[in-house]
Amino acid sequence: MVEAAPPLALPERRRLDAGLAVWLAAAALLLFMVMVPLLWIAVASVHADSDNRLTLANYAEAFSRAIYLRPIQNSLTLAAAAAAIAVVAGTVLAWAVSRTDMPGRHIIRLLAFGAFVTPSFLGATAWIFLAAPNSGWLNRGWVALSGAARGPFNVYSLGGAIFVIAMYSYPYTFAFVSSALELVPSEMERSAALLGAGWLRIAWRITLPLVRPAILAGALLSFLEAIAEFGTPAFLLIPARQQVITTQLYLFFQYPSRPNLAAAYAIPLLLLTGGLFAVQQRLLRRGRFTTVAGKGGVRQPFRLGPWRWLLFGLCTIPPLLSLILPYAALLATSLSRAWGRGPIPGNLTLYWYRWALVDNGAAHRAITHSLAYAAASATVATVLAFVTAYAATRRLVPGARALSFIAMAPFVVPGIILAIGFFAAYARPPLVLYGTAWMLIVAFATRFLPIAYSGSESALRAIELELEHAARTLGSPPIVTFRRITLPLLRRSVLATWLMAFIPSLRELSSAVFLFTPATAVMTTVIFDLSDAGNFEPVSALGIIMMAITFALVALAYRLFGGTVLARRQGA
Amino acid sequence: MAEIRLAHVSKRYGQAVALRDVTLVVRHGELLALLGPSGCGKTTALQIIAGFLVPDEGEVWAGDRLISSPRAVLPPERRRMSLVFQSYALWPHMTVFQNIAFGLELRRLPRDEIARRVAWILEVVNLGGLGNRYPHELSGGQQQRVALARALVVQPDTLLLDEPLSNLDAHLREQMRFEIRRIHTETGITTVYVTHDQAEAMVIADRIAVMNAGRIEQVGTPPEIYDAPQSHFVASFIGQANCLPGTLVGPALVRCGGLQLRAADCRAFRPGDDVVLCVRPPAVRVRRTAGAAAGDNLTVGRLVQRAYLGDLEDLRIALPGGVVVRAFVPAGQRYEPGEELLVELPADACRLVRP
Amino acid sequence: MAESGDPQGRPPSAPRPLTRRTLLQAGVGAAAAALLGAGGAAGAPAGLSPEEEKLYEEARKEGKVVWWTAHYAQSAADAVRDAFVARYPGIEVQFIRQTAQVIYQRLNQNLKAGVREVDVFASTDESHYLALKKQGVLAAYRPLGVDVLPKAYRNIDRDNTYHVGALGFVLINYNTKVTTPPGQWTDLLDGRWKGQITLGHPGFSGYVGNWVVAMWDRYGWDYFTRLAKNNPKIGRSINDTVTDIVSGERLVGAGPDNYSLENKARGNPINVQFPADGAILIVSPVGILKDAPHPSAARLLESFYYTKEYSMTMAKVYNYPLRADVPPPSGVPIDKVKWYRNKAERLEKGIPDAIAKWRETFGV
Repeated sequence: MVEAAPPLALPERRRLDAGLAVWLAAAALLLFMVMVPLLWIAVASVHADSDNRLTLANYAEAFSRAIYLRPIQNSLTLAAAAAAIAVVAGTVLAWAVSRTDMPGRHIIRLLAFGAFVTPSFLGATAWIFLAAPNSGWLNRGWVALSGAARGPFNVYSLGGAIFVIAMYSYPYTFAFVSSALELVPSEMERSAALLGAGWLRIAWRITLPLVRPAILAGALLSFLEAIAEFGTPAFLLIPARQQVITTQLYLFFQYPSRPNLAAAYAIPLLLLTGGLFAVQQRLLRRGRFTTVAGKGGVRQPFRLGPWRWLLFGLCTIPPLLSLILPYAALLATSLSRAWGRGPIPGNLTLYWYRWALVDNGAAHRAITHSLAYAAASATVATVLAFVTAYAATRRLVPGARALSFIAMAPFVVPGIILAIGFFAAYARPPLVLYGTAWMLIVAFATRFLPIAYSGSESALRAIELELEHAARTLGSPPIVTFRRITLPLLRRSVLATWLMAFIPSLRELSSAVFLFTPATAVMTTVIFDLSDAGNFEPVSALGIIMMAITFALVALAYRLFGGTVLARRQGA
Repeated sequence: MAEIRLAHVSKRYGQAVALRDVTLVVRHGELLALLGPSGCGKTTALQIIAGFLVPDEGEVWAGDRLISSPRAVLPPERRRMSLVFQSYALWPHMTVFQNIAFGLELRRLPRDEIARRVAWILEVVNLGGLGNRYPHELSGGQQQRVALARALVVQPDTLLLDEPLSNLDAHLREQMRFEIRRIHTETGITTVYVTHDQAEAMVIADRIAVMNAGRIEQVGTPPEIYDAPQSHFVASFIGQANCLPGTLVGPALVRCGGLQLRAADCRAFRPGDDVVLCVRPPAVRVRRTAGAAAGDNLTVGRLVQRAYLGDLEDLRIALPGGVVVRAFVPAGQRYEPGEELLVELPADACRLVRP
Repeated sequence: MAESGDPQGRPPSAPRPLTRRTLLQAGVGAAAAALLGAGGAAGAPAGLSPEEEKLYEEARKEGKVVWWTAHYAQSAADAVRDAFVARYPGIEVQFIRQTAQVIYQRLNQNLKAGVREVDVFASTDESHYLALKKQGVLAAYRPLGVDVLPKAYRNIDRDNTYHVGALGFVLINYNTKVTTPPGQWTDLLDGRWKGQITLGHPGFSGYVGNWVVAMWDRYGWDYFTRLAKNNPKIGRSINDTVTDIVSGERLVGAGPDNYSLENKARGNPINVQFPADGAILIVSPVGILKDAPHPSAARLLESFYYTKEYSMTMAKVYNYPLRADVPPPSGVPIDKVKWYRNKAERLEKGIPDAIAKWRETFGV
């Protein structure tokens, strides 16, 4: 009989609720990381650069002069065109990979992921080697073969920048659309087939409309990325004497600097990205496609017959242009004494790797910094994301949903604008982070907090609430429950989330370029600085080193979690 | 004293009302079933008792201790209640032993004492020797027992069970009903058992509280609920019943459509009240019209449909005025659809309930 | 009126007799040892004056020096670092090489935020030092050995807050495919060079800023309006022109003497042309920050500029040596060059104005 045992008493409870304290700390940190910098941009934008008096002159100046309006127009063109190309490429690839019997589907998927991980500024660098109007290898090859006066490609142009950015942002659409397609049951297509429709018509009229929300989400993300992109326009458009918003913002920070004018100039971009995001959310809500919500039935790929080889050929184009050619070019340059001489005997050397890893203190310090800062920022972002997501999904405290909104807000803040906010907020007393590692760590953590947050939120949603409730009824307070039950169950998700924040932190340029000082330089800023004088050999070597680290981590994650975790987070 | 009292408890989710003014007493040591269709509020009630939800109005008392009110809620971990979930909620990263030991560890018992108690409770639930398995290595029934053991080993004042058997197959479910009943008898822990399965409630519970649309319709022992339903809902939800809406026209006399029927009693109603007359199908008597005798509650109807149930036949008979009643009669009568039959609704089987 | 010199005029770098001290410190053995990287492993290397030794001792306690330079290309800065470390083992040199306006902007941001990071600041825009001096952030220090310099460069700031750190020219560089390079600056306006010109950016490079002000003052802004019609490629650093020419991306540029010659020596298809209307002489200063985190090491590094090792290193990487006792690498001594030099006071307002006008004209 149970009664035979003495009654079991729970230990006395401490007065202070540890859970509440943790939550308050998270709230304070979120304010500090997200709200304060954004507020500072608004404050800075209405103060004069010269004497700090309150004024609207910054807005008047920023939006009346032609040389400042032109970049806005360029940015919109660039983003719209890049998004359009990326959406078409991503959708075709996604459809081919998930709905057809095309050969090499797995390879295409893997290569799309490779393009996702590669920062577009490295791609831009590689495309300088390949398609600079006179010296680019493709152009030189063309001239040699055709005898023409000059080659057809010019990467130093708006078109060049559009192309490069599109080649690194098609994986967003690819990821969204292919995972949506996984959920469309074949019955839908089969019933159309029974009515006599061919596969092309079925794809166009049935399949693609069903995944329209995914296509839309991909388009939006590509647009947001393209308009916020800094490295590629800086590398390709400044030589072409074209400006976009981000490069103009960068120039505002060059001598003679106009940080407050930059703040005013940044605000419409912020409104635009925020507005687009809101529009997309509305569209998604209205056009709810129920078939895509649930788990689909049987999925049977289309049999394309001989067409499948043609399709395969078509599908290798984006990976060829975003991965194979660029990495070959980077590798060749990094192994050259002087890249302009091309890959000829006697021009081959490992010198630049030795230079980056050993000889040049600045370069190898930057590698160490990159790893350390990315690790620290991924840790901050992951911890904060899980704490916030836990409070929000479990409704532990009132206002937790507001916090989750704040945690997701940096999603629509371009890196360069976040950096301007950080600079405005934390490069002056009372809290001077500028000049310390924390400036970059906190900025990276903020920038990639939405990735970490959406990762942790979906991980937490996947855990049945009852597992925690069971512990609560057995006498376990929330914080103990989190530690003993939730956290162990989340172990893999935490690690995956951490990696998903670590990888972009490692390759982050657009915010770093504003926030580093030479004592806190990271790989990307060293790459950027070296590129200013055309030091492309060390740039390539550093780029290859950076990507080797990234791909090693990705491979590790792949082993640990399988492909699905990573694929799902691509667009997060 | 582990009596649980809900006093005028209400709970809303936005516009939807989950609980309306629920008052209920779970007596010390009894097993009370909260029975109702899905969405009736029974799980909400359980979550409020457990402390996971805050009532919008009303109070919950455990003995003389106020444990829930709109202003303050004693957190679940301070209530000395154990909850067994429909999903069992076994922690997949812990072995059976670790799952069960968890609550004991929180109570800071010495390690050998924990081992002793876990071993003992595993015996109680017939799982001896499975301590080192992980939950996914167990069958559904075994998982169910582990969940039960984990809840019981901490010797809670109150045990809450939320549809604990609904994930088991029919055979196992029947077996586990008796198992739970046995364990309750052995431990005597005050228990609230949420289910939508009336047969389960009948077998297991000391008393049943029937819930519908956020209200308690009736509380009573299983025979009370079955034999003396007090509302249309209870009558139709527990077992089968012919429910004929009508008006009380005289002492125990009801007009239902074109019929005048006499009921067993009408204490709760006054003439002119709208009532529902309930009669269970096995109580309905059917004969061929040949040699018919006149009498109370006797009328002629036409057989509409006949279903063969093995030793019984389920007849649907249309009465004058369009009312259709069901009758269970012994098989072998060979009534044909369309045939005129004499139907008797015996007055002592006719109960009047609230509409 | 800008100072200018020409081959026929008074040479700006009249040779000067060496003092006994500099003879000692530039002792052949010590210099060779330093250049070979064999400078004493432990303890002070031989051949240091007592003052220098004392400074070295204090600097070694600080352990490192932070040096931001825009003076020359990355490879040249690497070589200077190596020579310094060879002469003064035990002191780590943390340096960045960046364009002048970028390091100046970073310095200003640091100053505003109260971040103490840099010890020795070496820009190519002389006007930066006028501004920094006005802010009172430069330390006054007369480096050891500065007196061995040719007189013209010995006292560029009479308050000793900055001193000359490097000499170089903006001139015409071109790919050797070109048989008749432009002979003077105005030749770049010729339609023949359409789509073949490469330039740096005055908003980044101090050399380019200097060049733009000089062209503006001599030919009017119209020079750039017309140059823009030839559709030049615009990089950031002036050294970017060298990369463009070496790779064949562009044929001619307004480039630096030093990095062009360094590349020529490596066998790259590049050469330089001293324009007949005057190469732009850049006298790049070096100064120490008042709140330098490593003040003694900063002084030691600044003094190093006036050692023979430094001048020999300069020559090795095709920069003009500061000292007259080291021969120039181009084979053309400064006093044989027709050159033009902006006054620092003119640059102070001229460069920001030039940047603004440049943006209007070139769009970036």
